[in-house]
Amino acid sequence: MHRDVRPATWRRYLRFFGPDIEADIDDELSFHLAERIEALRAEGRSEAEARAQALEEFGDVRDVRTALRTIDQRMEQRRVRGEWLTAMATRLRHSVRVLVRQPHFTVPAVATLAMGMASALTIFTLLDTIVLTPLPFPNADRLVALSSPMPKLNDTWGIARHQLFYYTANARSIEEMALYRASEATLTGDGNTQFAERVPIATVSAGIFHVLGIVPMLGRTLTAQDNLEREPSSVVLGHALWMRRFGGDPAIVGRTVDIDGFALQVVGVAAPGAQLPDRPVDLWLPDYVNPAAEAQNNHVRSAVALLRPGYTAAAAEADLAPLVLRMEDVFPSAYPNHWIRDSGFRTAVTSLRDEVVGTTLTRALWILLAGVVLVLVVALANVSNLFLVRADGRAREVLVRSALGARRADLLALHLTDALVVALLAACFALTLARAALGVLVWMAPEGLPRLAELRLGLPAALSLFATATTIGIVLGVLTAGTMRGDHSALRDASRGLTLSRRQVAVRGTLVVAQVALAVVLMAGAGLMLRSFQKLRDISPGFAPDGVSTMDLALPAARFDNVGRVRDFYEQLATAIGALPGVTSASVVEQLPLTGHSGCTGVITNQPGVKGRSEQCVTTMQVAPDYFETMGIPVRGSGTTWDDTHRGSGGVVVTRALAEVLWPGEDPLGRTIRCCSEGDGWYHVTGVVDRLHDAGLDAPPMQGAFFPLVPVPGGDLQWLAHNVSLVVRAPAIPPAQLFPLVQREVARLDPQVPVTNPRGMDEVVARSMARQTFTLILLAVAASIAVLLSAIGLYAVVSYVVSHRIGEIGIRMALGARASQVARLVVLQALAMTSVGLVLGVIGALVTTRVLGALLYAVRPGDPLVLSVVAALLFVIALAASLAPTWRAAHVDPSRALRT
Amino acid sequence: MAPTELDLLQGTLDVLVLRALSWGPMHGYAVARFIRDGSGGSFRILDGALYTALHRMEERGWVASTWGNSDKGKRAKFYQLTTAGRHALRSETASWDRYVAAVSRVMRASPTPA
Repeated sequence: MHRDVRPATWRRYLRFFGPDIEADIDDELSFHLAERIEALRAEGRSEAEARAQALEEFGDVRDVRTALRTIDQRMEQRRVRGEWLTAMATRLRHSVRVLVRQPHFTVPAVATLAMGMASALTIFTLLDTIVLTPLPFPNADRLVALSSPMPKLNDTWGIARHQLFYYTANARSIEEMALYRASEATLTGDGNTQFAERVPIATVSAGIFHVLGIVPMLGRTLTAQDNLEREPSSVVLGHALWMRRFGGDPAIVGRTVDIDGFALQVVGVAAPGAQLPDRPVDLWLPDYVNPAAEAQNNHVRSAVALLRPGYTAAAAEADLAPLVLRMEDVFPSAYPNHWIRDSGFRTAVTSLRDEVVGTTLTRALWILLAGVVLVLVVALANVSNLFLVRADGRAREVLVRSALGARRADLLALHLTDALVVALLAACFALTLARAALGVLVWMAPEGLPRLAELRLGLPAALSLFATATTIGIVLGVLTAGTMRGDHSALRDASRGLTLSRRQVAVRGTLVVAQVALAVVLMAGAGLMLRSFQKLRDISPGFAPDGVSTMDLALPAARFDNVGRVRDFYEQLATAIGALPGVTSASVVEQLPLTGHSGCTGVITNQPGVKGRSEQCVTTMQVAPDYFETMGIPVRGSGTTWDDTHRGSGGVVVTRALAEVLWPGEDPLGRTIRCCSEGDGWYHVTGVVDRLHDAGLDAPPMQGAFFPLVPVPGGDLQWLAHNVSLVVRAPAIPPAQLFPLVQREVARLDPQVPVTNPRGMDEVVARSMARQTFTLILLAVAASIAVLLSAIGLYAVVSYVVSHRIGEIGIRMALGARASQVARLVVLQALAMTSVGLVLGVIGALVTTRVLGALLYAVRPGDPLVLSVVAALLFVIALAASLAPTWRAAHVDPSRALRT
Repeated sequence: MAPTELDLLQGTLDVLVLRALSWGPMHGYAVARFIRDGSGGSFRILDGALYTALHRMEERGWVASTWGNSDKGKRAKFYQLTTAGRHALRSETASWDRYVAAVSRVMRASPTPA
């Protein structure tokens, strides 16, 4: 026929390897043309004419062929994919059916894997959110925090206003820098629908909006012009506050709002999500930062800076160092001679993320991650064991299959599908578990744990979970299939084998040893945390927290503008609350102990010779009378009474730690000090507090001075205590019940004063240990899971060994062995494995618990007590886990055992 | 959505092919002959376009193909309507009828005074 369109005949044989698309198309088209030509010839055309017409009627053969090939290839691909999917579905159905029929295998395998993966996922999400994800600012990687460490004074200050202009003008590394102070303010109520409310505010230099990338949603942000005024007159609202309090009023710009009794004009609303590093802000107020003002040694502001691209924090610090050394010459008013050199004053630059998250927490989270990875490894060891045991049970099925012609690939696919189904099912459960666990974590997380608002289990985490699960499934499947190889002899003797092969026992033994060892490491970590937690709890905070309630008060600064008003308010309030039934006493203090850094000021003694060191950094605060009685702080000597306060008697109470610094080896009672500046009056020490923990239970005792609310006559004590905590000793009334009573008393005195945050002092103490508690609980949970899993693993292996040795045990008993001898045989084998695991685990713990270092308090990483308790505990657990199989072994009936 | 001119042509060809196959399985040449004879030569369709339509409909699942022998004993590819193809024929025929009716209504209409 027409050779030019006919394909070579041999090509058809390629069909054995799948359809030959091109040949089929050629066949089809040439058949058409041949038929058409034949028909035309029948009408009487010549061969050439017929051919020409047929081709003309057809159109461009080459184009059609290309088009058909594209379509057919697409179809073929889809078909192949479909077949593959069908085969997969068949295998999957088979696996699922088999797994459903074996719940004693499937349930523990899925549960174990799910627990392991859920713990890993939970901690990873925590670490990812808090440490790995950049802060929610544009250019987050270029943001740094500045501070002023003074190693020779053993203290760290903030940044002064003159440094802002000096660095911005001279430091090449800094693109823009800004100062801020975070605090709270009272939004005054309007007397009917709007209540007085305490809101978080930021007092800032205008550059902060550029540095943090904050844009206005309405109006404008603050400008350098706003920073030139001593008293702020303008304010930018946070988006959340604008929505909540002003109902998202689009005409808010230009209106005035009353803040702490001052009327400020709203110039703009910040875009949603605008915040300070890890702190929400409802109001942005301009700070007084004027380049024309005289430089002062007043380093109290926080500072953030946007580095120029290419500068690291360390490089920026090196860039600033020479500028700092020149500051004595540039700002003689702020730094007396050699002050910078004598104090070791410098400017430290840390990445904003390290500043927000903190290195201790970062470390704790990495340690926890390592811990849960260990749990995952234990879980894997356990599950591989389960798979091996199951594979043994299926040995005959597999061998029959292979005898019937199943290829090795088929057998591999069989194991692989089973393992993948188990692993992926476990991943689904793990996802649910981790979600729940994260919910619980957020609920119980310490207040100071940063960035929890950003915490969520995202798609990337879920995807990597499933990727991990797939890998685990493949490894398990291959491992199981691998152990089956070369065991063909088993078909002959599996049914009658009385003992296990040495290799089988060795593999399982190794898995158990590894599990026990890892469990020891985790338990040692948890045990060490528990010990330091106990030691921390044994420290007395220096006050008696039980039965003391506290809540916060804020007096509007505009109206409470002199000492008399402030004093009268607190006296009337303390008297009124003290008179409530069930209340023993009440008082106010500027800041409660254990609630964060209280800042420090210099105090001056009239001791000759010490004056040069007068800038001793001391925590100073004002307290009302009865503070020490209410808090249960023992005082040698006495505090001030309300009478003393009215007279301005000038008594001050100091802590022993301060007294030892100011008057070493002398009795502080009757000594005099004054606060802060030359203009202040002198106070005489009337009482000494023995020991009070202020910065934290694990920090050294407070070096502090408690000044009265009212200054001595002639002194000009500047500060008025507007923001205070009320403390009430009322043993039988819980804080929640006391709160409305206090609110009523406060409202009677002044309805514009907000009362917030009622809590018990015991809660304050607990919160100060929250980070340690948090780490402890997480480690303890991880350790418990690991121990549980290893116990299950040990139990599984021992009972497996027993069930395979029943024949042997039967023979032994038939030959006269007693039940106790058989029991000893089994227990000894279990304990041998455990002991090896314990030894390895203790060695591992000695090496690895060193990373806990900074998290531990008064416990060394290798603490022998902790290690021996852990080892003993695990030994007992191992014993318990082998109890049931041992009992079974000892009760083997020889006649029945030998017959089966 | 209004059909474009090309869609309409394509759809027309599809409905003709489906109609041809509704008489039973046939190879591509037989489909071509059916259309050519049926139209009495009043419109011209390139045979190549016909094959493209057949393969595309196979991909869409409207027709299924098998290799067999023609009446003269030559190897040929036979096409057969699937259930989906039968549904398609029914709905395409209906919409074709509506189209024809609409066109002829317009052709018969005279302008109404405004």
